[in-house]
Amino acid sequence: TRQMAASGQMKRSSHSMDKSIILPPDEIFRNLENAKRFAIDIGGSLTKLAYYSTVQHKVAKVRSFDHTGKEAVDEPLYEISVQEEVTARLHFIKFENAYIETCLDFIKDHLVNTETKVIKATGGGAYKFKDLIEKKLQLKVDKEDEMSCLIKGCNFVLKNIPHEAFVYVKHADPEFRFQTTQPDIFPYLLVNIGSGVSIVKVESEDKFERIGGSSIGGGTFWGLGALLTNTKRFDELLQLASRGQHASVDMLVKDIYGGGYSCLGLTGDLIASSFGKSATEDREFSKADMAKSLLHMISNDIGQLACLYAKLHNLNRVYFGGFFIRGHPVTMHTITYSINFFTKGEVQALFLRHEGYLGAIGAFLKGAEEDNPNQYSWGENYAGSSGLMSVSPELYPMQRTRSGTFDMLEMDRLDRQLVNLPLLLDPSSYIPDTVDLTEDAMAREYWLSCFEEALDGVVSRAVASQPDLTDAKERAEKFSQKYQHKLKTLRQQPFAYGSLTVRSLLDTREHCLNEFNFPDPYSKIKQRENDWALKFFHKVVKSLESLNWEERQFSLVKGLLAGNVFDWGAKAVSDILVTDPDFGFEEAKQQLQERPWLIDTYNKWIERLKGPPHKCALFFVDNSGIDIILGVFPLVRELLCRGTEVILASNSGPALNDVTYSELQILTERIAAMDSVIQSGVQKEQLILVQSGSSSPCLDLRYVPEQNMQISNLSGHVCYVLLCYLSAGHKNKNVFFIKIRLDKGLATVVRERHTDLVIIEGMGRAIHTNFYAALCCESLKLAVIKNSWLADRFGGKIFSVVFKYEQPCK
Amino acid sequence: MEPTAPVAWEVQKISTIFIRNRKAMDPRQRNADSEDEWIQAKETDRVTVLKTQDTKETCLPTVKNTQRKMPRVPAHLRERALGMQQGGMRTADVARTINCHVRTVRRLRQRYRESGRTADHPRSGRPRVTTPAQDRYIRISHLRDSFAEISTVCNVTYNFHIHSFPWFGMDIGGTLVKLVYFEPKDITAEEEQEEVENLKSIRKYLTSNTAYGKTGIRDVHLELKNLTMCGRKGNLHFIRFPTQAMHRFIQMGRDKNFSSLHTTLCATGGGAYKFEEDFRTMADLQLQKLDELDCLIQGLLYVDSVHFNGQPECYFFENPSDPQNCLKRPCCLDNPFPMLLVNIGSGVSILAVHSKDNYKRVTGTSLGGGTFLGLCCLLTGCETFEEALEMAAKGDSTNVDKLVRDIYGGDYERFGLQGSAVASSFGHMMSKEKRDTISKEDLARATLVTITNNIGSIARMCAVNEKIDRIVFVGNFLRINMVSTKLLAYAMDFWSKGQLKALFLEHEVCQKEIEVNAMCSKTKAVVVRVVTGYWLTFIP
Repeated sequence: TRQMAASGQMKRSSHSMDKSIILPPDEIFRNLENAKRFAIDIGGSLTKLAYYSTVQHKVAKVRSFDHTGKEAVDEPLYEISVQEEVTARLHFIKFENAYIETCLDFIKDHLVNTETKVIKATGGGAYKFKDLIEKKLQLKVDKEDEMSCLIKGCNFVLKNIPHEAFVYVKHADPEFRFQTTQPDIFPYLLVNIGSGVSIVKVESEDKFERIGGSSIGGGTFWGLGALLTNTKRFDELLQLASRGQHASVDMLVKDIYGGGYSCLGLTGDLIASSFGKSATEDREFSKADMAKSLLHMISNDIGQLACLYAKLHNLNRVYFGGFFIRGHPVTMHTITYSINFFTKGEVQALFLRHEGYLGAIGAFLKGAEEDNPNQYSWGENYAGSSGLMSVSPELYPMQRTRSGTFDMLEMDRLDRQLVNLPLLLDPSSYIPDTVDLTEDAMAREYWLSCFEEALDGVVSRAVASQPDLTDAKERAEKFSQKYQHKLKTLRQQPFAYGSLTVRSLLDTREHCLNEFNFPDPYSKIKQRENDWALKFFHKVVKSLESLNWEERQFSLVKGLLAGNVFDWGAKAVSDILVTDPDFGFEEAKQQLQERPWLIDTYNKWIERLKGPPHKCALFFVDNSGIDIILGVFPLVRELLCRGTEVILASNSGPALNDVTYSELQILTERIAAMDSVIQSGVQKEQLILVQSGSSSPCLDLRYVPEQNMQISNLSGHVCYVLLCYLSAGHKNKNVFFIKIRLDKGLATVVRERHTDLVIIEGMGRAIHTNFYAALCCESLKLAVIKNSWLADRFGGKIFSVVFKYEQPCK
Repeated sequence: MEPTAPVAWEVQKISTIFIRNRKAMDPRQRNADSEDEWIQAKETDRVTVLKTQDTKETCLPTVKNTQRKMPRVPAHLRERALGMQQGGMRTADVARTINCHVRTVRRLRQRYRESGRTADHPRSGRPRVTTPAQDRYIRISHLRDSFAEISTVCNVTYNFHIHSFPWFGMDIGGTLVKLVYFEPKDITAEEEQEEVENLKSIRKYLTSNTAYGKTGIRDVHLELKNLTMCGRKGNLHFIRFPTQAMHRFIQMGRDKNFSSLHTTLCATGGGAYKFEEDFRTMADLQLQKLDELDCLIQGLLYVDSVHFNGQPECYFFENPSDPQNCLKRPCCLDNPFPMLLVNIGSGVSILAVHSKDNYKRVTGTSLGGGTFLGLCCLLTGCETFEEALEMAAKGDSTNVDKLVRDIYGGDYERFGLQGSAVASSFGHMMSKEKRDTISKEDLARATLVTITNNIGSIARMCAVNEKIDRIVFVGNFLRINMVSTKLLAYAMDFWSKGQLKALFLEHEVCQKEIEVNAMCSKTKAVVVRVVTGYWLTFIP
């Protein structure tokens, strides 16, 4: 490293920026020490390196004390411990070919723990750099077919990254319009514009066919452009092109006809003959004009061919990729224009956010095939990935410059397969998020500021959650900087990670917290509140039982809503909770809006309850503490009494003060011990706990676990819970209880139990997301709006209540 | 009567008068509608005919006022004027009564004294196109079917050769103007005598030269000899010049006083629209604009039907994939439909033709002949198409293009791509070293190959999409361009695995104008019909 830094400094002083680079090891090539598997995609100008590495980061674990036999009133309910957990992460790094040697040296120096002997390579440059790689890394270069890597990568990103594909609209704000992920990505047409053009029809994971191509592609643009304008670099050529006027070189329809050719529907501004004027007019043409004309010629030609092939094979999804596109606005614009022209809007030109990585991802996956990566789901890590950059600097002036930067993508393995919730009415049209902040500039402004303001609170709680660790403060500071930077980036480029939503802002914060080893900043708070709330459980149930049916139902709902007030994610509430330690369940009830509520379908709900009981209710729970114990469990109890089976879905990982799956298990066990209804429910498997598959305060019903990991593949978290249960000497029933959950995920359970009611609780799950979600069964969405701005938008005040009971339209 | 004016006008005129007469409300008029009066009327001046027929209210006031400055005295007024004079009125009073000049009355009296008639002396006027027999035929055919299209009547009638020379057709494209000229070889002595000096000089100028000015060229090798067209025998000449020289051409037309021979020129191509105004203002010529694609298809069918000096016009290549055994074979378009017609001019238009009238423009591309020449001019500094082609013939495109084997070291088997296939046109030019050493010839060749392959690939896709297995390549780009024709033939054969057949024409360049020429009479008729009622405006 020292050598590296020295050479970097030396080169910086000599101002030869082309060849030199200082590698910031904190930022790029992260977790290189444990890199397991390498793949490299060397293109004409950019190198993409992919590696699979394990990340050791801290996770908060809860573990139950053995309470059997004694009534330890002062002791907390469970113990929190921070453990090292190893998770898998995919790293992708993109850099210019000029840096390849420097980077290889760097990798060699840092690669310590690897056992790998082979590096998968693809791309045109793989031949050229083969010897270099083999010499430097002492790894055998194993060449993979470029096209199959590309397709593999393309399938991978389309499936795993929401908002991967976008439509480009020039001069619009935002200029990217993201497409929602389709449940079925096949078939599609991939037009890869490298030096030449390959048009590939992809029908399934393994079935694809090159149905055509053209030799007029990026290489032609570069080669001819260099000859015509004497410009050496591709980017410079594009810059030239963006300044030019093609009409001075091209012969337009109006140059031939004097106007439009209306009987063929050709307008006067269409190009009749590219470079037609240079043959007939005897004068000098400007370089910019020629470059522009060339760009139009090639883009139109590719667009036309793509349309012809799409038409022939009856495909309407056409993705464009390759170095000719690679985020260049001019080419995206001309291709979009040409596709629109030739198909009259029937086919949309789609581009991919991670288009540059496709080859590397594919090559990596090829190498990792024995690991069966399809069995997992992968999620983009917002903390470690560079976002998509804006292409119009005039709209978004403060962005990184293109050249010389390292672009990164990191993906976390989610250890479970995620599928659509089977109860979604129409998965293809389901959009989880209520407001797209990319399009709603006012809301974007508000939420970004809101998150910025809340940052200090998060930092202080993060520090407080790890009182024994000395470096907590320092890490918290780093987190703060990183998140602030992300917010700043998002303010300028809201599209950087796909459509910007409240959900993505929350997720980004969680990713950043994890990044700096704050796995669960609210763990202490949650623990305290759970302890506290448990003490009142009995009293609450008692008081409910004394009420008559109608009163009880209302009281249950009110209790649930009051419980939902205790949300540390809402700044208004967390301020109260910090300043007023006596603020409790009853006080929260006082705060609630009186009926009629902001959205009030309570009467309909009561009418329904008077009817036959539901078969099975799926309950997405929100916060821990008062919310889950005094709000949710009484309602669950009531449902169980009615004969309704209940599936409680809680987060797999921590997010804010939301109750996690492992916490909920302990809580359930404790409550079961106190309450016979719950206990029998658990025993008879009428009450089931499942993981929602997310670690976010929000909920995306497109990604719920199909089934959890096989026992043999158990990793960290779940395995640990199992082990601690076993070691804690619990009775057989509990162990059995866990085993079932390990085998069946949310989706499977929902399907098996014929769920006919979905209850979604909380702002994050019912308002920011899923507010408009249409399900094919009854649904109840309830939340307390704990944000005055949002309440204002809905036309109410803070602590307004949303009670949205819906029946599917028949 | 000399057949000089286009027959359609006459047909139209006679029919119009006829209709008008038949429909006149005045019973006297209907009675007067007899064969004798018709014939008599025809033998007098045309305008007079009108006047004698159209009395009083049916007279065409617009024509009268716009065409003739002097109000002409109708026949019945002439008689009355004489009567008034004989009755003793003063000449001046008579003139005032019938609203004419005193001198007119005097002349009328004079003429009556000399000839015993009040009608004008016979005038030379414009010679009649139709003979009395033809007139009679037209009249009868109209009586048989009064709803018959003018063009139908015209077609039946033009057996009697009736076209005014010179016969021209013009296609004004983006880069080149293509002109066809029909040189009649069966001119009788009588005709020759009658022939205007102007016409003679034009014929002589065109047929005795092969180059006109700096840029005009007559393609002697394409000349179609002993052709029968519209009943006349003669040779068809093909002349081309750059569109840039259009204004000089129009000037020449003015200098040669072309408008004295023709008031209207038939033209097609984009320039027919663009230069219409210039033709009118500079040379006093109207452009008869004909649809480009109509002309193209009918022209193609025409050249195929007349054969190229005894040889079929179409040809294809046998064994296109095998350069050693590749043979040019003539063929006939006996059953031409459906076909994909790829017209490669400055740009490219691709038409799916299912019959003579049923066709559609499938698509087009801007990468055509104009692009080739334009790029060649920029890259090599050449100036003409011939120069560019000559260079291209000597060059080697593999020095410029990146082939599959340059990338993959050989064939790309995964996708069945041969190592010799072009992966990236101009791909080698990305590197500076190669750019510095490349020859102009190689660049020209690469440009040609690139453009040709691209056209071929789009044409092939269109053929598959339209389910047509015969592709006819026409257009200026393929003129003297053996490299491209062979390449296209090869590409079609190779990529379709022998399913598609590429056809070419000997007259790639000029079929459009032939059509223009052949269609002259017919389309003119159509136009005249459109302006029925104003037909007199066409009379010079």
